Amino acid sequence: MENCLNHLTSGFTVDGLIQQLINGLSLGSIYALIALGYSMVYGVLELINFAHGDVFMIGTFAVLGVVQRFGLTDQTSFVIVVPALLVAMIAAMGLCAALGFTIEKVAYRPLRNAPRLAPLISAIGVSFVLQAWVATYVSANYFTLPNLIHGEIPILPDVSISYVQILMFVASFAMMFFLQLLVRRTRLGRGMRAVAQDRDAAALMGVNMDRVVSFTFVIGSALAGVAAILWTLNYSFNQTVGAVVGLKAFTAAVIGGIGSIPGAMLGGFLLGLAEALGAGYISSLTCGVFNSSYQNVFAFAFLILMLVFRPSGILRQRVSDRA
Amino acid sequence: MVRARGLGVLAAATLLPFAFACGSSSGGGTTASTCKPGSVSYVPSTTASTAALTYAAASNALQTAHQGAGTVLKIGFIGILSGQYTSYGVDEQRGAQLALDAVNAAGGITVGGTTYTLQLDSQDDAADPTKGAQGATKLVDDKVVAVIGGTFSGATIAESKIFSDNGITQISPSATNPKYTSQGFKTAFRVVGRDDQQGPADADFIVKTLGCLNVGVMDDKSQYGQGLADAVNTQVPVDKGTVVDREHVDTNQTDFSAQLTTMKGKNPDVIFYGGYSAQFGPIVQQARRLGIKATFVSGDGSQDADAIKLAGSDAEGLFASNAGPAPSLQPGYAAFAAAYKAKYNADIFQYAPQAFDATNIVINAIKTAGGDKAAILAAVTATNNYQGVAQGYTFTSTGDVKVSIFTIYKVESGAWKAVRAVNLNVS
Amino acid sequence: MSILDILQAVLHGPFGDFPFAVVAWQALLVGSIYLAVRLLRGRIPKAAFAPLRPVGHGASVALRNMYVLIAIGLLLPLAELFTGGYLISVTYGIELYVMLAIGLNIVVGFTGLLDLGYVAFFAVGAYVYGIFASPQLAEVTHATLYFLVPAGTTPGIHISMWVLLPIAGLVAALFGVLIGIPTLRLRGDYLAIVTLGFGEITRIFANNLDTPINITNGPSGVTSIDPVWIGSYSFGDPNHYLGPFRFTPFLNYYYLVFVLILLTVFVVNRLANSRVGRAWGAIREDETAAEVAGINTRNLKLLAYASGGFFGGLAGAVFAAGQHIIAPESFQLFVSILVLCMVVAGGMGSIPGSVLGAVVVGAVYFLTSQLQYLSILVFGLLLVILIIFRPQGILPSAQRKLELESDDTETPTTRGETMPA
Repeated sequence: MENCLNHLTSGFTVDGLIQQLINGLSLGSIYALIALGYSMVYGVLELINFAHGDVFMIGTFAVLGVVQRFGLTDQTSFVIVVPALLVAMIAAMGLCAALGFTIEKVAYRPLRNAPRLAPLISAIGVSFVLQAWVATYVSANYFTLPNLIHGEIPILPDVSISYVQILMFVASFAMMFFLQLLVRRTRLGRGMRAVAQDRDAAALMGVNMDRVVSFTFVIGSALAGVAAILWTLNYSFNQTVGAVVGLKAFTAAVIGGIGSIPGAMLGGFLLGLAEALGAGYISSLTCGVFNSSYQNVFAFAFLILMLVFRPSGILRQRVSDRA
Repeated sequence: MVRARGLGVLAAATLLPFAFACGSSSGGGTTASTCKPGSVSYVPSTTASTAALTYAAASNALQTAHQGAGTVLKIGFIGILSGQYTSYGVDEQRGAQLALDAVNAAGGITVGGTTYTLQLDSQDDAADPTKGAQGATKLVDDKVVAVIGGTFSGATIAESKIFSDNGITQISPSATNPKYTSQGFKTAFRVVGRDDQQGPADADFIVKTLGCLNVGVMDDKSQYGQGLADAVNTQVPVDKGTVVDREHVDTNQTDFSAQLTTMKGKNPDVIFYGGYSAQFGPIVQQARRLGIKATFVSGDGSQDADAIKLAGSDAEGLFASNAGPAPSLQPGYAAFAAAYKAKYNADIFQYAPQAFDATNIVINAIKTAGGDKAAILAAVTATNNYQGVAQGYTFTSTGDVKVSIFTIYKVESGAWKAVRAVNLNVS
Repeated sequence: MSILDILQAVLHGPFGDFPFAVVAWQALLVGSIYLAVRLLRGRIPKAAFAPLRPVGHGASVALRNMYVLIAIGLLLPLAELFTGGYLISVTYGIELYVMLAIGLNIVVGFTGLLDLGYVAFFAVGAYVYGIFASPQLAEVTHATLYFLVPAGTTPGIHISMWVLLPIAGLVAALFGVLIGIPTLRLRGDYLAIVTLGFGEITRIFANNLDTPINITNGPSGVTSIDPVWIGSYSFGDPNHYLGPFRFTPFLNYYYLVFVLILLTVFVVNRLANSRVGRAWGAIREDETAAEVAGINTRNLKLLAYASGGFFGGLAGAVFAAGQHIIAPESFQLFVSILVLCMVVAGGMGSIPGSVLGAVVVGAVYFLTSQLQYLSILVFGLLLVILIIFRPQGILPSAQRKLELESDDTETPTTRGETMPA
């Protein structure tokens, strides 16, 4: 018992906690970006786009390709790195958007009126294809980018926030802002909201369903492209990264309220926090019974609890028979 | 609205205790440490005697000329030929193939009037026990007389029963899990040491050689990684060091900041990671970004070029152990590396010399026993100080190697350099 | 193994050589034969055995498929004895998936519950068998129990397979109920994600339950699992010969699983053609309407999970016995997805469909596995093509056929016709 208490209090510092919070939030911002794609597609089509995570994965490889083309190393000066990264971002966004558009056209559109399970299976098939293609024709190995953006801002003696993390926050908020603009100010955005609310009525009102759906996929995938470049700046990746991150991002979307843009953001941050704090402190809290390898369990547990107690998510007020 | 507020209160309530648990010392280590990871010297290279083994550098033409001459004897290979760990398996396959090429180029083996040409029959186990069992069954069907493989212990253990059931000698060039040879199969052999030897060797290196007493241990919760980390975890206190923190990650994980932040709070001098280079590299990279200054040490799963590649500029000063002697101490290494490069236009990844030696042990057995499985098994069991590229081999009664050698390497100028050799004599 | 051996084994019983055990078994045997005869005499209507006898035109087509499949299943391995053990090992692997597919079909095909975490049942069954038929339990109890040990003197508890296989199935069924309870209100894609989560959670727990008490032995998994024994015949012994033919362990287990599959198909078929099956169908078509019509959707959904779980657990137990080691890495998400693909490709809600789907998909998967990723690529493509052009699968049930092959693209509920049952 004494040992347990010892375990509990040793190593707890406010610094450590703040660092965990920062890490969790920055990871959460990537979840948020990808969750936006899931959320939008689900709102419009009531379909979990299983392949969305893999579109993100393709984006990471696009970034890798550009970085390798430019021959960037961690010694390369900022003057070259920044434009190169911009090119990489545009490449990733473009490739992801095109891919998302194609996938929707080929694999989902023919199944628009099919039973629920059909597009899900189709999405799984697409997911397989994407992962296997990368593994066969690129590599099954893991990759990391060199340290392109170095440096941190120290906040407290033991706490710092890196430039990459700041970039993650800024980028995700900026994207959310643009997305809100897009959804509220443009015609297609209006169409999206209409279709999300009532598909048949929107069709009757003259909304071009096909256009709207394509638009949704394109925007969602482009956001995944942004997430891709942010991911590669900090983490490693191989062809399986899309599956894991995608699942977490979907969880985030559900937590925040599927179909809601601020909801996806909120869900992303919450999930990132839950993971970081959970992995960091679960071992101390449970006296070693659970260890930090249970990280994924937290994400799923969070999801299950949300769906049992508040199925419409945190921000969603609407009652639906969806869950 | 009320609900949202309720949630907010709940969140605040759960976070509150954390705020109060402040002020306790961030260091977990209680012993003053004399940690000097920078001051290790290198293993000097000896004047290597070029081994008497001939390398068929330009043997391809010769090999095709010899095919069809005499009886074909199949030697099986099973290992990781696909997936993210392909580098390990393909490397071993190449080593085995080089051994066969050398023999075939020299005209095959003539025993009792029959000339045998050797052929490698390769199966993929992708580190999966089920796939490994099927591949092993295929090798049995193909009537191989001996098998080199598997690569990772999990699949190797699953395959071992099938080879044992069929009396086929199995020599693994890299399976380090103790369980493989403790099942009691007479056909299971390995040419490297075990994790329950490698772990203590690593722990001794950290505490005694580097003088670092505050150790953080981390693993990837894989069979290999956890086994190795557990062995280190047990040995460090025995050596009078302290394990300040024990963390686990998942093999699919790419964001390690949570575990690393906790580790950082406990202030270790050295962090030992049990796992593979695919994660070791990123872990080191992320650790440095978080401001962790500790020295990183890992096992043979990370002692390869991938770790350096993935860690990027943070690779300098990393330590990792590997089974087998340092290349500069391997008598035939230089010639072998040259032959490998000539045929495959690539560098040795890790265990190719061991695979080469294992194959040659089998070839040696064939020279006296011919093509009979049982006789080959008997001959392999009786191997007595066979001098290979890497070291001399004698097998114990359980199939382990009598002289178990581990080498610790350090990354200097973007390459692994040997810093310490550990020789263990097992009876 | 001759007929006399079989008879001797049946009479000797599975409870070991201990005299009282043998007597008890024989009493049980006599008692059940007596009861069976009494019951059959006029108690059970002939119609209960209808599916084994073709009754109508439509039904007979499906049945004929069934007989063909059974015949192929029995004879194929014998044919493979000529070609070598590799094909047998692959066939055995496919067979396990057949069993999983039939089990998943109950959940997905009959009841319409999207389950992406089916591998959890497989894992639970495997671990239950593994822990109780190997030295592993000694770790848990720090005690050595010699109890119903057929042979061998390794410590730990070694329960015979006759007891342990059903127990493994029942534990997995219980697990199914546990998974079902929080998900009762979920529909469609949400349910898929949650069940996926449960599948992953099971694997993570299996990987981590080695501290503080070593239950599953973590990533190293459970090793030295006992093979299955019938009398003195060990299924894991590679040296059984039938004339010149060698019965490898894979072949032994193949026939064991074959018997289990026949049992499974029989039971599932009875369920499907009963009120339970029709109720499941109602839930699949429209849960709200089913509820309104008076069906206890909660209990029936839990029953679906439990049944699916039972058969999955059974398959897992045999898997553990056959492979003699199990590790968490064998229970990845991919298995769940593969089984789902088999059910969908074969025809949801159709038992012959599930079997055929498992055989076809399994064959493609295993036999092309040398190509590894390329095979998965082609596999994914085929999946997409299949679902777009033939969503009802290869051997759809009669109902699905009507639903999906019709030119009408509207959903059945808008058609205004009554659907034949």
